[in-house]
Amino acid sequence: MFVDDLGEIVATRRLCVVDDGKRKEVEVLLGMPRKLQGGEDYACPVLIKGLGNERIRSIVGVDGFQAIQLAIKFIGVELNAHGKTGKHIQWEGSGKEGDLGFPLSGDIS
Amino acid sequence: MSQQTSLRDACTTSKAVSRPVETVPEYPQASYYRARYYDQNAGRFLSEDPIRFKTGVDFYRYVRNRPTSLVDWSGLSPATCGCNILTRIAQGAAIGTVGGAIVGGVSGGLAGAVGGGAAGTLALPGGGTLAGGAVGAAEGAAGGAWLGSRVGAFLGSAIGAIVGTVECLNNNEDSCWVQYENDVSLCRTLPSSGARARCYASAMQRYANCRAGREPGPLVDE
Repeated sequence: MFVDDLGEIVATRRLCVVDDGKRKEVEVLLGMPRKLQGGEDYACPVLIKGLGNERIRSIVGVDGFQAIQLAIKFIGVELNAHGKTGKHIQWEGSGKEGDLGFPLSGDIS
Repeated sequence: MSQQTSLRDACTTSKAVSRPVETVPEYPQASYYRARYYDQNAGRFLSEDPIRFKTGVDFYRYVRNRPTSLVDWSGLSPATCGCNILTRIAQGAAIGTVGGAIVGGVSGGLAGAVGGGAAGTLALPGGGTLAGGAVGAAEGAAGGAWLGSRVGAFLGSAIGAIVGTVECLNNNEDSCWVQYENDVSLCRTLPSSGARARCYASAMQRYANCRAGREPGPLVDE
């Protein structure tokens, strides 16, 4: 039903997190959407490294585009959730504080 | 390209997701929910719930027909999803109230007995000691229990809030993810691709709400 490996990586982003005064790198990896076994829908694997609980999460959509859209939303949700636990996450491409280049909850549905 | 290759190599050692639902390669339309099989085409379980009457009289239901608020990690025990800060506060307050009343009552009773006995001795040595001690013990126990229950409730609530917050920080991500996987399992059973698309979007929104500590809201499943 879900995919358990990243497969071919189609996009990565490196972020910086300041946790307890220490700067660490966070890496977001997006795998290519794949058709689910026994169905018509697609799953897009995501891995966020450097924030703990490093597990591959597969985000399901009715087609490859929705799987990617929802996977990008998932990444925004996760980074935002970790940001609220005291970890200060930054992206060098951001023009303003708190903007990591991923949509916040509700921007994509 | 070499960077992608090294990243891929680094990621292949990641742990697989532990979840209550698994697929069966030789029977692709069936999902194994740890204790029994669910047929996605038929939209129902293939066998009775092994815990039978513990969740009601319908043995073919999943988590009491409340998949949006309950999850079953083992296939044998429905549990709530998400954070339990309020539950922990209530539990802490209840334990603190009872424990504080007992501790306060005993210590208040002892202090009252000593104080009352001393006062009774001064007023009327002998009989006054006993009477004063008894009255002092009763008054001290009542007052101590009253004060102890309130202090205990306050301290218990505070401890419960801390415990609940720590639990949420540790478990919120996993419990929200289980909710998402259950939602997706339901979405996949919908025959219309449009309905599935709306359902998948709704499942992700519910995940976002769960991770933000908000009420997940209903799953759009039609």
